Amino acid sequence: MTAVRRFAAALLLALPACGGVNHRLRNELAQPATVAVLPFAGPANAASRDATRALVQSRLAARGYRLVETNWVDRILSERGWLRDPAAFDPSKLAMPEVIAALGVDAVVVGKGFDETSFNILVLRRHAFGGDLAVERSDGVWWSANHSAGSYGGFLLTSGQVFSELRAQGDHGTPMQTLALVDEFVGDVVATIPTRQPGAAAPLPAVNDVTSKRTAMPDGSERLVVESRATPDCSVCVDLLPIARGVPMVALPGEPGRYRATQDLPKESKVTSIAVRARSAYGSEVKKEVTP
Amino acid sequence: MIRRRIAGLTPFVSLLALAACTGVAATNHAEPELEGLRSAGYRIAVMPFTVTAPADGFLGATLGPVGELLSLETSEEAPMRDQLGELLRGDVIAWLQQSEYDVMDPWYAATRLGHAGYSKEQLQDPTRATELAKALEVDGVVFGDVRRWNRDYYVLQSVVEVALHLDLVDGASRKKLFSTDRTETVGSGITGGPTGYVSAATEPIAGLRGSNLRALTRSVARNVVTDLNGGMLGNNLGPTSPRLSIVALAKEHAGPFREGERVDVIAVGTPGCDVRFDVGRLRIEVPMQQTAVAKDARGDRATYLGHYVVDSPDLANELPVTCTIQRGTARRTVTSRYRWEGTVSLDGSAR
Repeated sequence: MTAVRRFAAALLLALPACGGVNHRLRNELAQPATVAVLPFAGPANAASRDATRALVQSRLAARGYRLVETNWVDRILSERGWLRDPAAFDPSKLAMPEVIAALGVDAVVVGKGFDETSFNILVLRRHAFGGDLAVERSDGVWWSANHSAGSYGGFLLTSGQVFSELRAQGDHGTPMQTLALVDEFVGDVVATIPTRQPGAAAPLPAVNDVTSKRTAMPDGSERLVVESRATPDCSVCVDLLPIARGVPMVALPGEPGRYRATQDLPKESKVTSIAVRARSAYGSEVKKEVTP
Repeated sequence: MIRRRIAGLTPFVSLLALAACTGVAATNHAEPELEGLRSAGYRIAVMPFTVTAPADGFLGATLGPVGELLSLETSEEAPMRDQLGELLRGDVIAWLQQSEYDVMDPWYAATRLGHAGYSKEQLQDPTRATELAKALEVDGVVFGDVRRWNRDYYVLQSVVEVALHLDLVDGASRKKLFSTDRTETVGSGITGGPTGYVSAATEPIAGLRGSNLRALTRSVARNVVTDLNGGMLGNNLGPTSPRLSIVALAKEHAGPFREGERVDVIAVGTPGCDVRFDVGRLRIEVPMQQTAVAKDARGDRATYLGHYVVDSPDLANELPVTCTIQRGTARRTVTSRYRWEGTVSLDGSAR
């Protein structure tokens, strides 16, 4: 056997041994109940990182944690100037106790160094995806892991439904093979996080006092302003049927629970229904509909 | 005596051989993982087909409205071959919309690959599957070759033959996940059953009419896609995967957007979809409305317009603008996301 072949054989044997999850759990810190998953960072394609984040979110929820929705997390981070471009987000520059307080949760999931690699050695082809994950409380890192999932030229499909869900949640560009590795990575890593008993469901938000006003604009269009009261810290939007559905409403500063949306409409266009929808950080949604 | 017997049997044997020329021959190979990939929504794009059908007996002119016998001959260099490739490719894409695959709109693929500078020959090269898949953001690429589009004319028998070869190549692994060779023939003439002498002479010509050939072509394309889909097709025509080809700010704007000003976004893409835009992650899923549809032989394209009116709490610098498109009623709702190359800044505190 030549030296090259001996090396290849040794490498082939060694690589599978790298598959275990390297993790640490600090039992002296309290297990969090409410968690927010921050955008993940690293050289990997943004779509792959988004897919990983979405899967971590759903797998943690399945293990009994209460997760605030990622759209809500991103809006809070953006409003505070901590998130501009999701593709270039860097959590290492943030003061986590401040972030945790702003999000109103017990802990945040921080992901760094996510990378996707592939290489060929002689007849061996390896494709891997991995990174570092941590669940951080304001008093320290409760759990952390470093892991890489890899394949040797084949597919690691576990569930077609997983891929359908991932594809439906975000960017479509992630190849099937990468999704398979993301699925394996998240499955391996989240399995090392202790489960907990699910807590009570979050209370439903409330929506009241929906008002609207139309103003003529110089170009002949009309500007419609809708204001409403809703539970503070919700994500609120308004449906202006049949013209537009889901126009974002912004929380007015200095008036907690007061929201406003503005939409320009073609002159004499008819809005037959105005429906304000308020969605809590944990995904509970209510709607109030009025006739303008 | 033996020679007389052989001579007597020859027409009968020939007849049997000709009868055997009417029918189907197909060979397929599918990798074991293809079924799982397909059920998970494997995303594919179909490249322009090559046409290697031999020149002898090539039925080029039958693509025209008149498919008479005497106008059927054509040369190998005729542009009819390109048209034939597009015809088969179009049929395959249409049938694929009844499959489990997530099929990319051909106009979007053409636009994207055209902008990337790919030549037609490069698009037909299976060794480029990885880069093509990456450019189009699909999982796999389908390559096709029309290997027969020919007729053989025997005095009392004509046989039309359509043969299609198809490969599905995975972009990430370059593995050929599926390969098929299918040939279908239709004979016309004496093997069609008893007939009068006059009909026997003219039936071969009738058998070469465009309608028979078109039916045969559809049959080949349908059956190839059925095999690619694991042996069955759905009953309903599903949509191709929605795409956007243009995402931009509709109006130029210097400096940050102030309270009361509008961030106007324009997008062009697949008609009849739910299109929205995000300003960073600060304001997301802002609705856009379809305002126009342009008809095009490669596929209709729609223009979508939307706007966000900046309010006093909006304050952020250099936010990306992205658009999403999805079909709300598709059997699998898949969202596609596209990013504008610039950024916007919001300063609602200033008027």
